Amino acid sequence: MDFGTLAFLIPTLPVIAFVLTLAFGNKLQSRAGYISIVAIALSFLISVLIFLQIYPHGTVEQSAHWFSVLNVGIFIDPLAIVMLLMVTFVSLLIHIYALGYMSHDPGKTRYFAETALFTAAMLGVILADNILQFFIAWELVGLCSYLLIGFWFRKPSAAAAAKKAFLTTRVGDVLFLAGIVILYFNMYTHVLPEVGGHGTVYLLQFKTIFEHLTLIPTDQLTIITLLFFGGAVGKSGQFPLHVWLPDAMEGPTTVSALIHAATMVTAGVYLVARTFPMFIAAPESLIIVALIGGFTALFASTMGLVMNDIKRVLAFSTISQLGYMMMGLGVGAIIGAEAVGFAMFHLINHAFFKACLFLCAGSVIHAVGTNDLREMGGLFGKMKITATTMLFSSLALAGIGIPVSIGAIKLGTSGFVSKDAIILEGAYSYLHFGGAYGSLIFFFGVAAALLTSIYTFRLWFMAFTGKPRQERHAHESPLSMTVPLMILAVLALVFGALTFSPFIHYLETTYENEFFEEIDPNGYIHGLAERGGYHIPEEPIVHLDLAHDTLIMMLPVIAGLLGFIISWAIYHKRLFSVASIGNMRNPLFRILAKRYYQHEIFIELISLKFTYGVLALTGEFIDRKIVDGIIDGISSFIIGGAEVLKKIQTGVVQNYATATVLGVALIALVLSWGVI
Amino acid sequence: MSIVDFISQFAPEVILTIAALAVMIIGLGLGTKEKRALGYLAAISLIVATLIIVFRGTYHLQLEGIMADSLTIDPMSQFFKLTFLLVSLIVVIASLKQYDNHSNQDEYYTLILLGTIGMMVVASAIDIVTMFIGFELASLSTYALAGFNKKDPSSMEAAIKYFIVGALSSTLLLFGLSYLYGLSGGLTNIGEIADYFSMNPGIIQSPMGIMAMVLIVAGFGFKMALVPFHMWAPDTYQGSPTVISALLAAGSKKMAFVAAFRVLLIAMIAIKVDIAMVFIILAILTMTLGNVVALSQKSLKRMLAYSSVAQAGYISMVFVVMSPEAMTGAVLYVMSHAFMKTGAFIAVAALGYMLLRENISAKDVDHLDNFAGLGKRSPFLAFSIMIFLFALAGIPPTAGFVSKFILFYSVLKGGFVFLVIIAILNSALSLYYYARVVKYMYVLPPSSSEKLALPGAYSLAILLALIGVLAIGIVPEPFVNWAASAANVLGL
Amino acid sequence: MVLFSHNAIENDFITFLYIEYNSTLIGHLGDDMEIIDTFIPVAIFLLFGLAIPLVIMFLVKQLSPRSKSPVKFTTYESGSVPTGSSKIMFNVEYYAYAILFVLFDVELLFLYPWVTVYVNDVVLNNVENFTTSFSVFAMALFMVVVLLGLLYEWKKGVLQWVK
Repeated sequence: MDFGTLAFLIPTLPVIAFVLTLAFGNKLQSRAGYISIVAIALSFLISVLIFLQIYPHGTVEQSAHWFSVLNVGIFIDPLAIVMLLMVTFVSLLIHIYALGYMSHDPGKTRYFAETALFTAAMLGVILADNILQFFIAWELVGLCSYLLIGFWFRKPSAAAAAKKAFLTTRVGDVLFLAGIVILYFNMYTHVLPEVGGHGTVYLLQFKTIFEHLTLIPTDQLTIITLLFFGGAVGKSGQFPLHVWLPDAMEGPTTVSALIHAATMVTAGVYLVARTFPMFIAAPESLIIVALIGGFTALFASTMGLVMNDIKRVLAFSTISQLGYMMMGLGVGAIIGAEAVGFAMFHLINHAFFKACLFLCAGSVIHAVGTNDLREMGGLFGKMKITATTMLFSSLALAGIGIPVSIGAIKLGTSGFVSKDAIILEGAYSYLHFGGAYGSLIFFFGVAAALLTSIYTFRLWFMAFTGKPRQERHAHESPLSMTVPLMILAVLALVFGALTFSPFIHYLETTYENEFFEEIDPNGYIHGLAERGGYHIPEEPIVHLDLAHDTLIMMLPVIAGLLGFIISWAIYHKRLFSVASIGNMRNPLFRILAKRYYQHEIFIELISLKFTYGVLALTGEFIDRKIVDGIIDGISSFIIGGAEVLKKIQTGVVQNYATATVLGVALIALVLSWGVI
Repeated sequence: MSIVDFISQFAPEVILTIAALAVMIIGLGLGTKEKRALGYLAAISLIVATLIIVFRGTYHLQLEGIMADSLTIDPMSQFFKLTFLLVSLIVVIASLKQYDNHSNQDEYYTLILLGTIGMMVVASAIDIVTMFIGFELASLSTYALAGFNKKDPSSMEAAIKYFIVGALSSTLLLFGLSYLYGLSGGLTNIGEIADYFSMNPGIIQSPMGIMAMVLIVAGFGFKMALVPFHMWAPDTYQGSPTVISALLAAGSKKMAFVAAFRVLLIAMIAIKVDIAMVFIILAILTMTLGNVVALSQKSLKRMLAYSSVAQAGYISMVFVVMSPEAMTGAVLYVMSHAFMKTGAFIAVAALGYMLLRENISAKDVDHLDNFAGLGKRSPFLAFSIMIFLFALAGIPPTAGFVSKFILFYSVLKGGFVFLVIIAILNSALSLYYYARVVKYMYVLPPSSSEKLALPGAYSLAILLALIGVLAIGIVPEPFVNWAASAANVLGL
Repeated sequence: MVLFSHNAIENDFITFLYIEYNSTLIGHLGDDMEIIDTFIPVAIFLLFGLAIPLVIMFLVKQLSPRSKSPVKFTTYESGSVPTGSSKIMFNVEYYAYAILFVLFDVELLFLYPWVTVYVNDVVLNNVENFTTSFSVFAMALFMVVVLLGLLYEWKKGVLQWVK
C-alpha cells in the first residue's frame, strides 16, 4: 500500500477532531480530549508509516490545482517528514499530559478543540508544497496561538499577551507576505517565459521555485529572503520581534509547551530551512540570519539569568535556542546544505527537552500553585519523577556531554550533540573558512552556551533543592502527566546521541537532488552560494579535522560544565550571596531584570508614542477626513442616483412600451451610425 | 431519420410533453388533495429528463439535420437544456409545499412543464421559425404563471405588464425574423442565412438588414431584461409568485441568451463592430442601472430583480467580445446564475411561506426587515441565502466567482479594458446591497426569538441549488470544459 | 420512413406561398445591391393601398348628399330604436368562446398546408402504406393534442354557456 496517499489525512484528522470536539464536546465533558488525542495519534501513525516507506530516498508529492490560481498540494521530503514526526509525536504527548493538567478547567472542551486546530495548522505548514499554502497555514497558526495564549481571556494580562503575540507576529507576517509578492513578481517576469507560459506550472510551488532559482537575479533573491526571514523572526521570536514570547506564558502551561516545542516557534526555523536554496543563493541574507540568530541566542540567555518566573526562564531559553537554530542555518553560506541538518537536528532535540521542561514546570506549578522560583525549593523529595525528568532535560538544555564518539554514537545529551554540532562544525567551520563576522558568530555561540548552562541549573537548583521557602502541600502529578514526562526525558537524554550522523545525512539529501543539476552536475547545492558571490571550500566541511585543536573542541563542554559549577556554587552551596549582586542597585542586574527596558522601548516609545501617537493619529486624520470624505461623497452620490433612477420605474405599462420603442430607436441609431 | 431516432434524441422533451399532457388530463378528474400527486409526477418527469441528458452522453454529440434542419443536438443545446431542467426541477420541488392546497395546481405544473419544453426547444433550435415557436411556448406559459395567484392584485398586475410588454417584444422579434427571411430569399435555417449573408454582405449592411438586426436585438433584449427593455422585470419579478420569479429569472431569461448566441452569429458576419458598439452601450446601461437601483430597494424580491438585470448586463458583454473564451464564460455564467438566482428566490419564497404560516395576514413578506436575525431563527436558510448572495456578488469559492472571473478575464483579453473596469466597479457596488442582507440576517436582532421550521420541500430545493453553486465554485474544471465545448459549437 | 427534407419545404411551403414572386426575388438578389428593387412591387402595393381609400373617401364626400337630422347620429340597430346605455356588462364567456373558436379554426386551417406535404410525401413518392409516413404521424399527433385540448375545456365547463 502506498501510504503517501494517506498524507492528506495528517492535517485533516486534527481538523476533524476540532470540529467534532466543538460539536460534541459539551456532551462528552471530561472525555472531550480523547477525540483530539486519537486524531493526533493517527496522524503520528500515518507519519511513521510514510517515513518507513520513503526512507532513505523517497518523497511524496501530490498537488491539485484549483482553477490555476490556487494550488493545494502535499510535499514530503526528508525535511518535512522529520518535522511531521516530531510535531505529531510531541503534540500527542502534550495532549495526553493535558488530560490531567486541564482536568479541572471548565473550558477544556474549547482547549482541546483549539489545540487540535493549532496542531493541524502547524502540520499544514509542514506539508505545504507551495509558498501560498504555506502562508495560509502559517496565518492559521498565528490565529490559533492568539486563541490559546488568550485562553483565559477573562484575565486582562492573558488578553493583553494574546494581543501582543498576535500583533508582533503580524509584523513578521506582513514582511513574509511582501516577500511572497516580490517572489511572485520575479517568477512571473523571469521564470514564466522559460516554462512556456500560463497553465504549465504553478509558480509558487517550492519545486518550481528551486528549479528556476538561477533565473532570478541575486539582489532580488536577497530582498525576498530577507523579507521571508522577517516572517521567521516574528514567528520564531528572534530579536527584535521576540517580545511576545515571554508574555505568551499567560496561556496554560501545556499551550506554552506546544508553542515552544512543537508548533509555532519552529515554524519560522522551518520556513528558512524550507526555502534554504533561496537563502543560499543569496548568501548575504544568510549572514544576517546567522548574526541575528547568534545575537538572539546570547541576548535572550542574559535575560534568562535573572528571571524569577519559572516559565519565563524557559521562555527566554526558547528564544535563545531558536537563535542557535537560526545561527546554524545562517552559517550555511559556507558549510552548505549540512547547515539545514544541524539546525533541524537541534530543533528536534530542542522540541524534546523543551517540551519536557515545560511539562515539568507545569507539573511543579500544578503542585505548588505558583510560578515564582523564589517561593519554591526543596521539591525534590516530594516530586521525584518530576525532579528527575527535569534534571535530565536540563542537562540536555545546558548541553552537558563529552566530545567523544564511539562509532556512530556520540556521548552526551541530545542538546549537547546538536549544540556542539552547531557551534563547532557550524560556526567554527564558518570562522575557519573565512565567513564574514565569523569570530563574532562563534563568540555568540560559546558565550550563550555558558549562560544557558548557568540559568538552567539555577532554575533546577532553586526549584528542587534547598529548604522549602514556602509551606505547601506539594504532591507528585498523576500518571497521565508523568508518563509523557518520562518519555520525553529519555528522548532528551539519548535521542541525539543515537541518531546524529544518520539524521544529518538524511537531512542533507533534502537539497541534494535534481533541483540543482543546472548549476552543478552532481546536484550539489553549493553552486548556488557561488552564484551569490561566496566561495565554498574544496573539501566537504564535515571532514574538517578538529582533533588537533583540543581547546576549540572542548570549548562548548567547558562552557557547559562551568555554568553548572557556577550555578551549583551560587544556588546550591550558596558560596556567594545572590543578594549582593542580584539587586536593583546593581546597574547590570537592573538592566537585565528590566529586560533591557524593552517594555519601555517597544511599548512606550515605539508603540504608544510613535506608532499610535504619530502614525495612527495621522492615519486616522487622513482616513476620517480625506478618504472617508471622498468615499462618503461617492456613496451618497450613488445612493442619490439610485433614488433618482428609481423614479424611471413609473409602474405605468404604457411607459414601459415607450421605453421599449425608444430602445429600438437607440439601437437603430447606433447601428446605422456605424454602417452609413 | 426515423421517428424512433427522433424520439431517442429528444427523449427528454418527449417525456416532458407526455408528462405535461398527462398532468393536465389526469388533473381534470381529481380533487385538490389528490392533485398533490401530480406535482410529484412533474418532478419525476423532470428528474428522468435530467438523468437522460446527463447519462446518455449526448452532450458531446453534434447532430444536425433533424426535422428538416430545424433542430440540433450539440453541447450548447444540452448544456442549456440541463440548466433549464434543473431550474424547473428546483422550482417544482419548492412548489410542492407552496401549492399543496391550491385547487389549480395541476395547471400550474402543466404550465411549468410546457414552459420548460419551450425553453428546451429554443436551446435546440437552429431554425428561426422553430425558435420563435419555442420562444412563444415558453412565454405564454410564463405569462399565465406570473398571474397564478389570481386573488393577488400584484400578481395580476405582474402578469398583465409582463404580457403587454412581452407581446410588443414578440412582435418586434417576429418582425425582425421575417425581415431575415425575406432578405435571405426565403431561408429559415440560421446557418444557411449566415452563409447567404456572408456571400452577400451588402444585404445585411443595407437599411433593411440593419432594421432586422435592430428588431431582433430588441426582441431578445426584452427577455434578457436589458435596459431599456427591462421595465417589466422588476414589477413582474416582485409581483409574481416567488418561485415563478425564480423560473423567470433563471429559466426564461437564459432562453433568450441561448437564442441570441445562435441568431446574433448572423450579425457577426458583416456588422460585428457595430453590434459590439450596441452591446457596449446596452451592457453598461444595464449593469449600472441594475446595480444602482438595487441599492435602494427594501423589498428583497425587487432587489433580486434588479440584481438579475445587472447580471444580464455582465453576461451581455459576451456579445461585445464574441471570442470563444468569452462565450465559455457567458455559458458558464448562465448556468451559475441559474443556480444562484433560483436558490435566492426560493429561499425568499420559503421565508415568505413560513411568515405567512405564522401570520396569515402578513404583508410584504419579502421586506428586508423580515430578514433581521434570520441567522438565529433559521440557520440553514440564512446560511444558504448568504451563500447565494455572495455567489451573486462573485465571492470565491462559489460559482459566481468562477464564471465572473472567466467572463471578465476574457473581456479584458478582448481589449475592452474600460468595460471590465465598469463591470468590476459594478460588482463592488453590488456587494453593498448583498452584504446588507447578510448584515440583517446575522447582525441585527430578530423580531421574535421563535425558531422557524423550514418545510422539507423547500430545504431540498435550496440544498440542490446550494450544491450547484458550490460544485461549480469548488470543482470548476468539468463545468468549464463543458462550457468551452458548448462555446466551440458556434465556431467563433 | 423519412422526415421531410429541406427540399420538401422549398418545394411545397415556399412555392406554395410565393409561387412566382420567389424566383424573381432570388434572381435580383444575385446582383448584390439594389435590394430595394425587389420591394418595388410591395411599394407599389403600399401606395395603391394608401391612395385608393383616400380617393374613395374624397369621391364620397363630393358626391353624396348631406343631411344633419338628430336621427342621423343615432346608433344603427337594424331599424329598431336603440334603448339603454351602450356601456353594459356582458358575459365574459363570450370571449372564451370566441377565442376557442379562433383557436380551433386556425388549427383546422393548419391541415391545409399539411395536405400539400402529404401529397408530396405519400402520393407522389408512391408510398405503399401511408400510415408509416412521418407526415401522417405528425398530423395524427397534432390532432390528438388538439383533441386533448378540447377534452380539457369541455371538462372545465367552458363550453357551457351559463354555469
